[in-house]
Amino acid sequence: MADDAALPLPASPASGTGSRGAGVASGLDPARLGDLIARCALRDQAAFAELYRLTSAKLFAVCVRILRRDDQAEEALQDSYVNIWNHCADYRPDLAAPMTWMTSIVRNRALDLKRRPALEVTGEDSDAWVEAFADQAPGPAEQAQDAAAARRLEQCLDRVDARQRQVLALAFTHGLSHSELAQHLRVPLGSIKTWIRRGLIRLKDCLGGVAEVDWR
Amino acid sequence: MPTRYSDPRLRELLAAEYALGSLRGRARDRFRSLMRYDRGLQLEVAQWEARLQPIADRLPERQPPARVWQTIGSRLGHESPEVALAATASAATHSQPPSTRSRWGLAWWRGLAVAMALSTISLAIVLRTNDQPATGGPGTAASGGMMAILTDASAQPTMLVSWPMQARSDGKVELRVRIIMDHPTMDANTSWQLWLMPADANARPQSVGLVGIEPEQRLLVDAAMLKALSEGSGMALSNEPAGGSPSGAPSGPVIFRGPCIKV
Repeated sequence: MADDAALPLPASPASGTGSRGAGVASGLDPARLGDLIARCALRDQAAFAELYRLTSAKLFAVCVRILRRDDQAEEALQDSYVNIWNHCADYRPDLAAPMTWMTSIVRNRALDLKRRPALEVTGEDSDAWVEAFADQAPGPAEQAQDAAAARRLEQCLDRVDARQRQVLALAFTHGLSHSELAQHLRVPLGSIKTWIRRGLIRLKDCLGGVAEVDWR
Repeated sequence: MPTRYSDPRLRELLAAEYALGSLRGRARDRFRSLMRYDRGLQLEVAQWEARLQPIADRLPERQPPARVWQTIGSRLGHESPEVALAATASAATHSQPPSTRSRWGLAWWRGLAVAMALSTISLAIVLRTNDQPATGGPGTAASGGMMAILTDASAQPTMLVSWPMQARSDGKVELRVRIIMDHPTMDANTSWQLWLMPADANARPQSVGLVGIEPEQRLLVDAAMLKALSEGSGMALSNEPAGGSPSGAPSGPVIFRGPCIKV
């Protein structure tokens, strides 16, 4: 892009912003991420680097869970950040919080890549997320609003039938399809579809029709 | 448009399963193309993604290897991404030395900068000659000024914003805005809002004002903004609700953008 030319990289950007925790979410202030995306829309490479630094570990975790193979996960992450850079002008702050928007791009890319044949699904840590979620202790350094949203979802998931909960969790974190879920859990396909449907309805009834966009 | 997709319960279920990821294969493709022109479905999906996002937030972080960022940078033709990232990643493990690829990128980059400067100079000459009979006011030609050439998503120039380096005697800075695209159109009940991007990557964009679609316009800002204007790195135009962004920060999509240049 020609208009990048006069946007210099700052000499020592953000060295003192205080988000140097060891992999915690303390840097993920939604308003801050929103500003960085707005600057990326102006082709600001320093803002893009900062956005990557703040979010890549979170989003890589999403890729790894879905794709299971590091090389595939790296490819998905690369494609996703290229997409994020190319589409940041389309980002609609009124429709989605920054992290939700980026996660959606990453998950879609990972799910597309997963469609390639010969990506076998192994189930070694399939219950890890469910167990992690059942652990009631809140994460050590989550931001208050993230924690509140997580707690609300957690409470709602608690009201969902255990099997439905497991199916929803596996579908979301591991990107398992209906038939993969059926295979993995050794349950008829029809039951999987019913559990997902009921689980989603229960979840929505519990969470209500809220759009979580009041992040500013 | 298949009529079965107008059943609200089916629409919601599909949106939910799309966001969940369990809608797959051709059904997923079909839903995606359906969603492209269906605002209701987009909203439905966005709400489900927001509902489920805490699950993703909850996953333990995992640091991707350094080569991922390097590949992203070279795919996008960015300048030496290692430098930018190394400068920010204080707690990161180790950063690799710049590769030959990125040095090539730097050369390409400098070539682009030169080309950009040349086109700016010729534009500036055009502007100056145009300016002389029109304004001739104090400051404009004498002490130089700055300008921003805004382009649209396909890199077509759409708007020129120029301003002097000093305020008028009444304490205002006058910015000239010229729309140079062929048929500017603005959606009903929206406003175009012009933003200044500060040099500091961590600072928020500053509103310059609302812009119409007339070819020649003038904006007046307080002299207090002069310093920010002279140090600005770029300008952007976003689509906002009528009357401008309610939050004071850009809330709608950025449609034009461009760097600030001294002329």
